[in-house]
Amino acid sequence: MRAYIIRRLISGVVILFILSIVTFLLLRVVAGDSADLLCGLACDEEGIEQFREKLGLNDPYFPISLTGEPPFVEFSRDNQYTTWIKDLLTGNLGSAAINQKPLIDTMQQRLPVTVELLIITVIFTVAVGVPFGVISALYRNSFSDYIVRVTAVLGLALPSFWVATLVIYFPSQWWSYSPPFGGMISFVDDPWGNLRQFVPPAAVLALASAAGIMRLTRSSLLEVMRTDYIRTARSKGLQDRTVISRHALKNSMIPVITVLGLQVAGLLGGSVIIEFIFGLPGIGLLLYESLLRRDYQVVQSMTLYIGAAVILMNLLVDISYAWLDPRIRYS
Amino acid sequence: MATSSEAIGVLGIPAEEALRPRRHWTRSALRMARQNPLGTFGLAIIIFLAVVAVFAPVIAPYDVGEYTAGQPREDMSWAHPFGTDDIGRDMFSRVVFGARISMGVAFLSVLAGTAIALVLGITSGYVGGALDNFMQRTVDTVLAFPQLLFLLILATILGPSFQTVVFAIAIGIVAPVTRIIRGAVLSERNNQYVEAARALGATTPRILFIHIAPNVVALAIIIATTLLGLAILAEASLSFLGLGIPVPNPSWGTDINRARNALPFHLPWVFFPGLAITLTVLAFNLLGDTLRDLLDPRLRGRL
Amino acid sequence: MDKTSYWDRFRRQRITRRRMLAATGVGAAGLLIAAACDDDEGGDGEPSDGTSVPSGTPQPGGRYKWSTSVISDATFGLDPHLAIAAGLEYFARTYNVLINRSAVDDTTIVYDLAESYEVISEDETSPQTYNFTIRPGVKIPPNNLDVPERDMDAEDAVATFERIKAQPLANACQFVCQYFASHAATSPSLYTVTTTKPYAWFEFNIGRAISTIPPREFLESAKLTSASVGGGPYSIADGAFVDGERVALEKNPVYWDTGKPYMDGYDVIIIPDRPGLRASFISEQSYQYGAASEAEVAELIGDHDVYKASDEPSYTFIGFAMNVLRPPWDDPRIRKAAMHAINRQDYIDRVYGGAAQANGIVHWPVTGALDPAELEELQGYNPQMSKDLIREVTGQDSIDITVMFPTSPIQEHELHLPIFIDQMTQAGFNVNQVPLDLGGWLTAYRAKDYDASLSLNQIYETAEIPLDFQHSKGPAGSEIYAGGLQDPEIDAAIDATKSITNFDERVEAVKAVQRQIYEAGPAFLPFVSPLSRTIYWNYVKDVPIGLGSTGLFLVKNVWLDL
Repeated sequence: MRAYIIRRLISGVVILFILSIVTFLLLRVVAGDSADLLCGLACDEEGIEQFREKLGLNDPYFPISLTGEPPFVEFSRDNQYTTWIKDLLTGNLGSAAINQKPLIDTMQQRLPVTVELLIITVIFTVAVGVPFGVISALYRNSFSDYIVRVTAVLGLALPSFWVATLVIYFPSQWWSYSPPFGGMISFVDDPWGNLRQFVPPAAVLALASAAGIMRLTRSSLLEVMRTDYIRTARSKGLQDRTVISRHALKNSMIPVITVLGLQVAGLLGGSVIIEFIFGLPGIGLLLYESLLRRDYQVVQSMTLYIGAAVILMNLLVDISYAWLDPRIRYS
Repeated sequence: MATSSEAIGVLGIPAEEALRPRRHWTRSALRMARQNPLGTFGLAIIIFLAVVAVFAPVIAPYDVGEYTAGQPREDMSWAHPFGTDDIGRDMFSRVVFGARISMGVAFLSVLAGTAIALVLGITSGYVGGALDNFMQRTVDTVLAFPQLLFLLILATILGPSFQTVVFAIAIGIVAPVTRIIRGAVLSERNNQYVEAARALGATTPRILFIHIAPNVVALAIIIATTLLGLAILAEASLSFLGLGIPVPNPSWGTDINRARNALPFHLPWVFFPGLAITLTVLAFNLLGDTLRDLLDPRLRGRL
Repeated sequence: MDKTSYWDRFRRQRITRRRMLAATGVGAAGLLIAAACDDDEGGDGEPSDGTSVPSGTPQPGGRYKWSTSVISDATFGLDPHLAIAAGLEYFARTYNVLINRSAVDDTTIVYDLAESYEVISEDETSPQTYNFTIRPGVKIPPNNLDVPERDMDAEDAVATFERIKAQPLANACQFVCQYFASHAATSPSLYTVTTTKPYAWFEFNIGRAISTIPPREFLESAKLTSASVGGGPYSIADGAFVDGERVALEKNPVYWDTGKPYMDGYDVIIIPDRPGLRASFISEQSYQYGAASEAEVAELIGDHDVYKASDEPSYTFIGFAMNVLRPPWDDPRIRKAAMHAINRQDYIDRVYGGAAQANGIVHWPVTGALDPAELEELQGYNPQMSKDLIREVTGQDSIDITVMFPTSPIQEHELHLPIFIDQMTQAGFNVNQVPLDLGGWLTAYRAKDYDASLSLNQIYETAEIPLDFQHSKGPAGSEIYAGGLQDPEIDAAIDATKSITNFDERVEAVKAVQRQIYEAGPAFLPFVSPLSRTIYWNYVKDVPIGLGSTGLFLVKNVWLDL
């Protein structure tokens, strides 16, 4: 197991390395020059050139570059890639394009927002998805099963940005109420304000994921109930309740937890839209803003962080999978 | 990642799909329809929308760009069953024509994405070894790449257009579906009947096409059906991010986004494109569920 | 909530402004001011200024809540000279300008850092010298930004305009770099500028929010992009500005205009999405809101205790740019065909619910704009004429054109575009649409790499830049993003309008050059200019009206009647 984890971590680092180069090149070669947009409408060639110099965009991309003439290879100390990686590894966590503000300051403000949003979303997802999935499985083909299933499919079908807009619009229309805007309210300072701020967006974000978990719980539980050992347990005369709570439920949770782990990575992306609509300044909004501003220094660093988060999450899922199901062994 | 209906999550694949084994399909469609009212309902909606999309010019009373069709923000009436938008275009006509674009985006992107993923997944899974390793690491890298960023870069290179949206959604589909297909191929490959066939001297193409492909393709069809719904949501989310079908084209996603920003809400305008999206995604999901039950004998007769 | 017309209130505000000057014992100096004091001296004297609600006695105190979608410039943060658009509202609140002259009326002047000024010129064509007398006692408040608590003086003005001159990216560089021959602090209380040539909009330009004067020590500070302190009514402390989240402005306790500002501070929060902005207004997390449509204004006024500030012109417009260097736009007949294809009334009715006015070359309500009747005659909607012109050129009923446009999240574009395409199609143009993302569009626009394009929605308060759209050097003066008509005669005529310092003569010259441009077939066509749609809660009092940027420098009068 330990060897497996080490191997996965090493491959994770390799993936991040590839990711860093791909992101770096895509942003520069393909997506165009950020000096263009940063410089604004009234900027002429000279102004853009000044900008490129300031942003270091005139430096070579990599420490080694190929040239057309002998000796065909050129080494440069001042290159954009190593400058960026150095910046990334020196505790700044990278920095914003022109004001060179260290990203770590921004992250300290923004990360708690997204983390709290995701935690509440996961709580909602589990609290709603699992019980209703179990009910749906236990009372298969009953009226309540149909209700739960149709609701779940509807949850998957509603565009979340749409639901979020309604959640903002109608309370203000009917009761002149809206969640508090203007930066995160700390839970410690004002728990009620904090919850008013985070519960509505988390509920919207949890809509689709809860529907998915509910469906998965249902099918997973149905499958486990058909296995031989459950049949055996039942035939031994154990009560249904005991069989379900002691054996079936635990085993049916294996795929559920797996998917939940994968969902968290996806929710990171989904939080972009939700943070935008609810005016929550988290890292999703930061990535979106930076993309619109073409602050590629922030974008490329954020890409790596999100990539690292996804890789770690996948690893945790796989480990928990082995831990939950003793039959699974990694070699 | 899977079930979130966001632009990003949308392109993810329901991970639950990956966890289901596949079996032969044997059940007749007619019997299925009787026993699966929800799936039949879904199919009916999809057929209805397909007809609407094909005959849009006949059905729609106005041209989509005709802003003189009515006054701005008209309510529902016989002349304008879905009312008008904020400059006076007929929303019924726009929703009808929107079916073309939304369904077009969904079918083209899912078809292309799944087809590519099928080829890559089967190759990776069956050939194995260094190639498999390389492809899977590539998939890892793509999966670790924030999709939003990817889509924005695509939109920057290609400019916002129908093709860009199709391409972006298709690309988003390839990596995760490749992973699922590969997993399926691996489990089929290790099945005893495949080993038996190999022992009997069956050639690689024969094993691939006769023994493995049918099961894997069935899986791909199930995934694709659910993906169609997700692709429609993805198109809407892309419009939200300003990367969708450019105005003045009548896509549902673009219209719903215009409607949510043109305050105060003009309810018919807010309602109908949203209803169209929800109904379509619902239909694809119901059909996908039913197909899965149909193609998965272990759940046969249990739904 | 009363519907006093914009111009009525504009006049009343002027009177109030003059009272304020009298109260502070400021003598008016200089030719322009003497002229200004002649008219309306015996005005109605109504104390009501700014708002339509009777103001009552101002109650000092309280904090003003304000939600907005953009807080700062992405690149330059709160740098007063480099930041674009979004920051302007803050700079006018935290720093000083020498004087501010309204764009719409040469006689409306707000005196700030300068308490008076005089213009010395030998004749109409020789360079002018401006002597600004610095107001004593414009104090810098205590701060945590290492700026000494002292009085602002002429050296600060020198440092500011030197900085602008040295920064080609500074918004005001075009003005300062082109028209400042020399400038100096003759004494701490006298700042002198000598121009290169007479310039009609000198007083307007020197008082814009892009030329505010921070203390010279602060110009050197690294905090310039994230905080601000100066002689203005408010300051932004170190740490009070959180990019993308919020900014807090605190009252300057030693502000020169004793007793003002009335508000203790501003709490500005960022809400990127429009429904959120609206909800924050209704739930009173913001006291003001820029409504999305006339329908929304009517709805909110009907349902809540709020009012619309006034029917104030917003000086913004979207226009259609044609590249005369490329066919078919090199043919004036095709340009005229496009001109007659545009039915501005449809934009007014459908995009702005009637609350807008048709634009000519110089857009309404800028001084020098042609009157509606004449515009109708020159550029009126006439699709038949468009078709005839197209037939005359091509021999066919229609012509293919390629039009690029930004798919920006700006709602206005999405509303203009379908109308534009439909109208062009009706008039015989087959429009090949090229949607581009904002960055891609900007690159193409800047490099003039387009056949034709819709413009961004921009604000121009004087006739200068609208005319420059027809000039070979383009609106930025550096041959980027619009090539005008490429006609030396028109270029010369446009340049000539800029040196006419006499108001009436300038207005006539601006009108004359427009007629000349219509004759040649304009290369840039502004559509319509909307009225501003900002609404406030009823307890917000004495909101200044815009007056072409002048209102920004009167926000110190705002108070809350809670």
